[in-house]
Amino acid sequence: MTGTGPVEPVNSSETGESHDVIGVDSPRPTDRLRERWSALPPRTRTAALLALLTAAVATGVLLAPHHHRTERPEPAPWPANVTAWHYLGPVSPPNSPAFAGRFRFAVTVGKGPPVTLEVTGASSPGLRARALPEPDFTVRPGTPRRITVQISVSHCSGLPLNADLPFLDVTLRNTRAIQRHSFIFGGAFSRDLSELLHAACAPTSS
Amino acid sequence: MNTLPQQLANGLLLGSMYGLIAIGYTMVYGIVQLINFAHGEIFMTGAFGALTVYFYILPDGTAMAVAVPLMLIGGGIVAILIAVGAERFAYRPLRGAPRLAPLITAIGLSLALQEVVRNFYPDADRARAFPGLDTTHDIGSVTIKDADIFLVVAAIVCMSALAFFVRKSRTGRAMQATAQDPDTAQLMGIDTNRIIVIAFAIGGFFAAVAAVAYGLKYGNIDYRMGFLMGLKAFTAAVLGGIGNIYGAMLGGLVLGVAETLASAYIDGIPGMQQLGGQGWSDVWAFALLILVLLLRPQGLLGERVADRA
Amino acid sequence: MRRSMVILTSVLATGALTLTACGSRDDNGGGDSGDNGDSKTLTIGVDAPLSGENSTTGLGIQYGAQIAVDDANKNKLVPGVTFKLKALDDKAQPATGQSNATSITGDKTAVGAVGPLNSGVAQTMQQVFASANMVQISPANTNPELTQGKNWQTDKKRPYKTYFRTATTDELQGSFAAGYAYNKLKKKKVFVVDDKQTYGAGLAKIFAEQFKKVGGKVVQTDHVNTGTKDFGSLVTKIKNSGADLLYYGGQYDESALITKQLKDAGVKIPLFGGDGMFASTYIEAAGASSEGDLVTAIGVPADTLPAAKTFIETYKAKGYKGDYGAYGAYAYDATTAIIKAVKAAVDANDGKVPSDINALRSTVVDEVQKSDFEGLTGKVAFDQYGDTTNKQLTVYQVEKGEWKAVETGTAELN
Repeated sequence: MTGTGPVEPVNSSETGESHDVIGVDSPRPTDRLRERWSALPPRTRTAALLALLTAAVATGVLLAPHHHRTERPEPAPWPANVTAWHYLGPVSPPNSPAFAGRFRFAVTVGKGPPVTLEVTGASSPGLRARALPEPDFTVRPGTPRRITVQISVSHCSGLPLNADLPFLDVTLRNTRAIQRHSFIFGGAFSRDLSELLHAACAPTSS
Repeated sequence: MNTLPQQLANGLLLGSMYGLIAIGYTMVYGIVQLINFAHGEIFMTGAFGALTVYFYILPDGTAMAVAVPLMLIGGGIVAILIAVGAERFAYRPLRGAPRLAPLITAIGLSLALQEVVRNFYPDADRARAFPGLDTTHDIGSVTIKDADIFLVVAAIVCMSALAFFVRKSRTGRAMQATAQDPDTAQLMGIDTNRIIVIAFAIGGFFAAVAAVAYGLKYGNIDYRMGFLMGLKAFTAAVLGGIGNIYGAMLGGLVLGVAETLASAYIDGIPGMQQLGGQGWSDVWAFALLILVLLLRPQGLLGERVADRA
Repeated sequence: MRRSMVILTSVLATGALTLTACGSRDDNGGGDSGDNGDSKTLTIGVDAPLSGENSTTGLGIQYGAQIAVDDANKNKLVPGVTFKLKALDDKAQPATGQSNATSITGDKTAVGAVGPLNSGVAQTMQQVFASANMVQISPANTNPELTQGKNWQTDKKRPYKTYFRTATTDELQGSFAAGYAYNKLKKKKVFVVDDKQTYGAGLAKIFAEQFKKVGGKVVQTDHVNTGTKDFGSLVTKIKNSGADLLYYGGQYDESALITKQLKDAGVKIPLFGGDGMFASTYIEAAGASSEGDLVTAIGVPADTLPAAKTFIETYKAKGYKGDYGAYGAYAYDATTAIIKAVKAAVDANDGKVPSDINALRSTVVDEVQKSDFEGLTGKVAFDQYGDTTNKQLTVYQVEKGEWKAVETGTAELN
């Protein structure tokens, strides 16, 4: 997103905004006001000042209690809402058995407590999937983790060889909740997986 | 599994409902030559009248055997009041006016009734749940539920009562006379205004019966339900020969069965997949209407030439 | 001289009192030309079905946007600008949507629009907003064509650069539903019905294709007319087809009737639908017959989003009608994206609202494209087609008369 934007500091737009509010916005209106101000007769100025002062005090008094409202600590996010998978590519050794393939993914957790993941399945009942070397692994927020998922074909019958949008079933666990979640992939993973399935179940046609 | 009996049953049930509403169109037309386009909305208000009885008047948990007759009465009262009110305040002042004026009034009244219900009936702008009669029975390969039985019984009873009333009773014969020639009938001492009010009231009551059956069958009602049902019922009335009460019922049944069978079987005919299915059922129903009107412009049972229409 | 002073003082005092009195209230009626000489009211249009069909979810969009506007005004997100909502009812009809779009673009204070609900309505609105160069963000449209062009399957091409959406597409929704139906529900034979509308027909088609692809069988398809109440003939066909699942592409108005008539006829197979069916009204209208029925909906359940908690509380506290569950939070984020874009435009213009509304609208379109912030529903950002980058879906099932999330999914396409 920032790539297409105007010349901007590297900051995210979030932090940029709060700066703008304080620093950049204010000068213009004040300049204008100053012009008008000096055009006013002295008595009016005093009266206006007094009125403004009253207004400011009134506003302050009325708004003050709102400021120290208790900021509840934000509860931990649900794991499915902060976890993202990105497909990197197949693991190279092609001489692994034809009925199984290994794929690399980058898993990131956006914020909150660490999330423990367990890959429990893939697109079809005829496929088994597990993460290597351990079936479950933990990802901490801010530090993406690369993992390998092995997908093996247990039986070919009824197995769709060209699924458009294959997915991985993953159980996500953090201090907030345990969720069953599907990560759906398009493009590269779809092609690579379908290559594996062709090799395993329809070797003649490939 | 042979689905024909079930599909026929579906069609006859739908057709009975069309027929009940079509009576209202046909009676009013037969006597005053007015197409009361607000009749669909009278049907709708009948449904809301019945709902009011069930939800706001009867205590919770009233047995349906008690509730249904009371709902019929409540819905009937509302529908009759609105039908008669429409006649008295919207149509009667226009009786001598050109034919287009009452027709446009009817359309305006129809919109007004819809908006009144939508705005003033609680939560009427979306489907409101209606108590259902959902117990099902298997008769051979046909599955029907209590609401369907209610509909069939109601249609038969109403139809027979109406036939008896029109043929045998004094008022009924006065009605026939008015339909034949209002001016002469008046000269013979018939209070035609009273006859017209009675025609509207009977139409309204039949619509309310159909509305209760509708609610019991489909389980919910909304303020727009009258539009499509009214249109279909009007079609049924024309199909059967507008002005003829038996024609209205027959037209309803033919329309319902035609619609159902078209939607059930046409896409099974090779080469016709694109023209079949539920989505095309209205097209076939109206194609049938056009065909019938081409061959018999007066409708299936219509006798009189449409000299005054 | 003295009189003018008295007037000035009283004006200022009144202004000050009004401001303090209004304090946390949303719009303080523009105010007088006192010290904030630049105060300006900008309008954000909302178009959704607010009465009749689909209005439960449509009202959720309206009030979701309303809360976003209230929050922005309360927090003075854009100094010197008060936002106002202009909600128009499209009755789920394309022609009405188009005239509403014209009315919004004709409003000289309007900077952008949120909506509509129905993809078919969106098709007629896109052109109007494109000619006015005004941004339109739909929280609910899922038809792929809207952002990726007619040939989205083979050759993606964005038709209108002013159109964005915070909802994901039916390509994903249909595939997710097909995968869930086949793998998790173990359903092999599906009967597919749609309502012939842009959204429903598109979704049903994608579902049918994907269901076949994963290995299932589509035993029969049928189409219904919106507004139909009697589905007796359809139900008999379904019963006779031996299907173990009914998939419906369309809205809750018809599907609630279909599921009721289906179960009443003794066909105990679940009905599975898309986000158009995800509304409390579906369960209310179908009653116990809806038990076990499923939908896919965009996003994750609102109650798992910590940021949405205040939103839901506000929605309930204000007693707003409609159902925020399906798109309320997405409408909030869509509205916030427009507000933030206005802010960026104002900032780029030395803190002043550009006086030329057309220039402002055009800048807002560019800024919405660059959106990148944490919304209620997660990260709000748009890809090169105007689609959200936050592609999440949830399968809900009716359990004891309530929608319950049974499975969630995130897509990462590429």
